[in-house]
Amino acid sequence: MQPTHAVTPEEVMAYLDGELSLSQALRVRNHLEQCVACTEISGSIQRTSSQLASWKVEDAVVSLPDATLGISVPIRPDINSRRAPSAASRLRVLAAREWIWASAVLLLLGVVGIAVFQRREPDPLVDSFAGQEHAPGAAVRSEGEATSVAEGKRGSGRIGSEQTPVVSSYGPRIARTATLSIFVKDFVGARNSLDQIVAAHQGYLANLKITAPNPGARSLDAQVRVPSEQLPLVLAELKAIGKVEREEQGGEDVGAKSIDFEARIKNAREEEEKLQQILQTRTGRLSDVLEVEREESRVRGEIEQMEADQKALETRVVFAEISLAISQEYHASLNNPLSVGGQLRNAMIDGFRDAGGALLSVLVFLLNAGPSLLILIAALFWPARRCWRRLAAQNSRSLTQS
Amino acid sequence: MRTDEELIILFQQGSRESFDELFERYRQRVYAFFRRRGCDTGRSEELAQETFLAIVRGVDRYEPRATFRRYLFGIAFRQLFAERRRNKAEGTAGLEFEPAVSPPNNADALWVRRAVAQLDSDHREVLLLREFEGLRYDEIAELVQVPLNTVRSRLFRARVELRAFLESEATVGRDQKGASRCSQPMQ
Repeated sequence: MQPTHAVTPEEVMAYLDGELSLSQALRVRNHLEQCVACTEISGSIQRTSSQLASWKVEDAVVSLPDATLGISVPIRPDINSRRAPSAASRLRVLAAREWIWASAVLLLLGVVGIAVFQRREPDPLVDSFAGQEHAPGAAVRSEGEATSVAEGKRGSGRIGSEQTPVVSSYGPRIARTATLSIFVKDFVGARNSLDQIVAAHQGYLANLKITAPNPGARSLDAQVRVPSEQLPLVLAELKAIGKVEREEQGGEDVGAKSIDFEARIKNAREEEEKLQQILQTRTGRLSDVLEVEREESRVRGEIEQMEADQKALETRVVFAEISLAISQEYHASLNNPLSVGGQLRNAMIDGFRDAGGALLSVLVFLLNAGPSLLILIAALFWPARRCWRRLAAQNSRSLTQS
Repeated sequence: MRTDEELIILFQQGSRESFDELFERYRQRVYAFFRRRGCDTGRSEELAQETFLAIVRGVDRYEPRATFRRYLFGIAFRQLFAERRRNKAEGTAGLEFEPAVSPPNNADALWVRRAVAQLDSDHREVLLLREFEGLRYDEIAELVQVPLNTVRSRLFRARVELRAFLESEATVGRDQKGASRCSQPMQ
């Protein structure tokens, strides 16, 4: 009896290409074991792929121009190119242009840097940003007037550096953080300035809390996120709002973590593929199949979790986080906001309230301890009475005899 | 041995050696990508160079959510389309087609190449991306911008038609063994 064709030829092809889900692959494989026609289709597809593999191409003479060193690769002289200039000469021109632009930019930066440096007083905190890369984990602290700067590793952004290719920006993947405490006189103005600064630098307030005790100074605690490259500017603008009480900065190199995530995700995906292949190529009991399915679900869950963690890590690199505290300078008032009559009234009310509270406390005590006291009194009353009577009789006998 | 994705991540962080290794792994395949699509040897070398140069320039744009292979051949695909647009704009009559050099006396390779040339261009592209570039169905769908089911049906039809061409070519070619024939340039 001819088995029913529950499987299409395209599904057979997808099964051979490893493109089916586990359950679909199992279904197709089981069908192939029974259906001669589909087995022939499978064989035909495999033969076609084998024949396609015989179509070889000659070895390539392709080498990559070394863009960082500006060396271009000589092209084969027998190439009959239809266009001029050739790719190699275009690359030479491109590399030369890049050298010229890079040199011009460096020269300009050098002139501006020297001029600025000579004009203003050195500010270690600002200099710690300009052209320097902080070593991972290094922190820059300042407390009031006293400042100390942790020396960071200089960035290797120079053209032609062996560490840094020139064609695009490379560098460690740093998750930057900063802590800033500021005293201000005008709290409302400072609040508005904060919003403007964050908006101007394409950042956002991840968390904001404002407390306003009465009486007392108002304060603000916020978590600010700004693009990492904007961090120095944002900090400089925030510090201009008021008087800096405390400042800290840090950077964590998460490159190793990122690579680790990549490797783990890759390994997990390979494991997932192997599990799928196991089910496709091997026969087994249903319990074995279910076990492998469970394992595959677990691995898939791990992959998704790692991908989410990796995404969060990338966000930390893209956006620097600033823990900001703004406090208002508090001036105590000599005048009591209340009038004399108000104070007397408040005192009278407080007095009655306290008296009521004391009375209530006594009643509560009596209710709590009363039953226990009554039992104790009852238990001790008759012995106490007997003792009292004996004592009284002895006293009267002694008086009579005397 | 590091995976392609690990190497490109390392390259993003400044490891030139990682890119060199990627280049060695894929230079022949990228070259063959252009050769199999009708480009002559010289132009294929240039396009392959430009593909890798585009990788270097745009390395910051690579994101690990796609395989490196998909990313690389996506760039090569765009290079190929740009090349075809240039040819069309210039009115250049088809690329000068040279048969891919195969080991001598390999008649099978000749039949295969001729059979592939006779396929519908859409079917042929999907077939080549699957058989030689090794892309998954979803990657092919994203690259050629068609639905997944369309990829599947085109690939199946390509294989069926190719099978038919090969069987007929095997019969005809044996009768005309040794005759040189101009091939249709690939689109």
